[in-house]
Amino acid sequence: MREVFVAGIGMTPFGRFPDTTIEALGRQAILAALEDAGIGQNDVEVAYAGHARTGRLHKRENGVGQLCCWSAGIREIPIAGVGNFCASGSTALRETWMAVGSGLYDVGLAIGVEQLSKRPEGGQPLTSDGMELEGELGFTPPAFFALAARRYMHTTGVDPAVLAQVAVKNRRHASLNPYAQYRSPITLGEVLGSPMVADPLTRLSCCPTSDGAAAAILVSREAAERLELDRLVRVLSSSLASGGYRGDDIAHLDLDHRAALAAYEMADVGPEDVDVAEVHDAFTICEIIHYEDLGFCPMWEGAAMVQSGDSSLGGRLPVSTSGGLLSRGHPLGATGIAQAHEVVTQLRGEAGERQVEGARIGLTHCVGGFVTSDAAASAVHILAAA
Amino acid sequence: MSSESKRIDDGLEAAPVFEAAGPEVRLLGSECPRCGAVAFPRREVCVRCAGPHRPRELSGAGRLHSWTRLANPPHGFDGELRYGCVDLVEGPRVLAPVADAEPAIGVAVQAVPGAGRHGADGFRFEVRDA
Repeated sequence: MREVFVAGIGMTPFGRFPDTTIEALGRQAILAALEDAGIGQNDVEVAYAGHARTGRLHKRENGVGQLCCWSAGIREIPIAGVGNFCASGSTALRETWMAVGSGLYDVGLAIGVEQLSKRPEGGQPLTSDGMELEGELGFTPPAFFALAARRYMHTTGVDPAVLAQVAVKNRRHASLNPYAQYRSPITLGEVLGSPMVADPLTRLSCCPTSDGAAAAILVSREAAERLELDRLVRVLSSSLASGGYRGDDIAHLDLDHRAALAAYEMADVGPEDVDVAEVHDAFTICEIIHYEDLGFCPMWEGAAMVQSGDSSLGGRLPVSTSGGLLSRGHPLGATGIAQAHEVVTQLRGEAGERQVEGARIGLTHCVGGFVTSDAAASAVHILAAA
Repeated sequence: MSSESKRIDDGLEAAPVFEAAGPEVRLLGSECPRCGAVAFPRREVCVRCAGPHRPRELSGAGRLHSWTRLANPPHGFDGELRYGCVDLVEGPRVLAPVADAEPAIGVAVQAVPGAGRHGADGFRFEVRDA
């Protein structure tokens, strides 16, 4: 693989926008990324689009990439959709990285888009593709992570108030991010006192239903020089793992651990080198588990990272500086690229009030879906200031 | 169970995944004669060693790995749903409703008849004193 750089990023604000369309969201993100990179539509040679629920909700299981590119004035090039649960956007980013890194293309576009506010079962937890039999017995994604949370509390003695600190921290971070869905600070009491969803996870311990899109332009060094691009961020590595189906302790996700190890090895860095990270905090417990599986701290010691402030802005390794899924929002297919948007912003030193001083290396992590009783897909990307 | 009532596995699996055995439920899984891995539901190819599986009836006995209460259960379930993660004594992990409130993690449980979505015939786990 040759070197690949992120040359441009763009995203819509995340929120609930039932009156817009996936086409308009996607177009807005693509145009913003092109403008940020300083290139034109005709410079884009290939595109991958991540989306997970556009089939069920918008009668568009296929063709979302072509639709959004057409809407933004991009035609004729190879375009493919990528469905990979909550990791759809990360996987689209990875496909684009492979397309440019392989040498087949010099300029690629990764886009992620989702509009969940139109789902008819609003107020109910999202269901999960492929868990039909389990679903007939009551399975939902919050149920899985509530099981993980109780197991975690049983093993460590940590109580729900500690888990809730993740939601308070990420909301505090989101208050500094103009793209975030929820920006008003919340208290520990509000998180713990919000309606119970799946014990011990309350509503404010769960990510919201979101709409939005994000896009990134990836280029080779040759393209960067030819097009005179600047503010480049280098993609050091990209990894993707699927479940091992071994019935491990439910409070950890082995595929995340494997994806992280692969990404660190390819990037030739370790978790101690990471300055800023966006992780898949779909529920408060997730962020704590992810600290451990990604190697940010020893196993079963993740709670201390949030209690000590280590994972807050100003701490040892700020995590979810965008506000994370919990407060920036989680439009499934857009999330992985929005994570890259945040990390690129940080590595360029353009994050304003939420800037992590001197950030040189950043990591993004998305995990999604279920197969039997294991998670299905985990993607990790490591980026570095160029 | 009446043959006319809906089952949770109707149309979802090639073969039934459970059958009643008096007051208990047996889970219909499979095992790998080569490496000994046990699966539920039944499968054809071993995900551990890639050998062929053969059908095996599982006792429905296991240990509770974790549990939760779904205050906001999915469509087709009424009220609060107690839900658990069970590791069967034969090995496989099963996610299913649990009968008891506040069960202890690690407690012995047994699969018994229970209702799935819209009251379909299914199974749940019940704490056993042992």
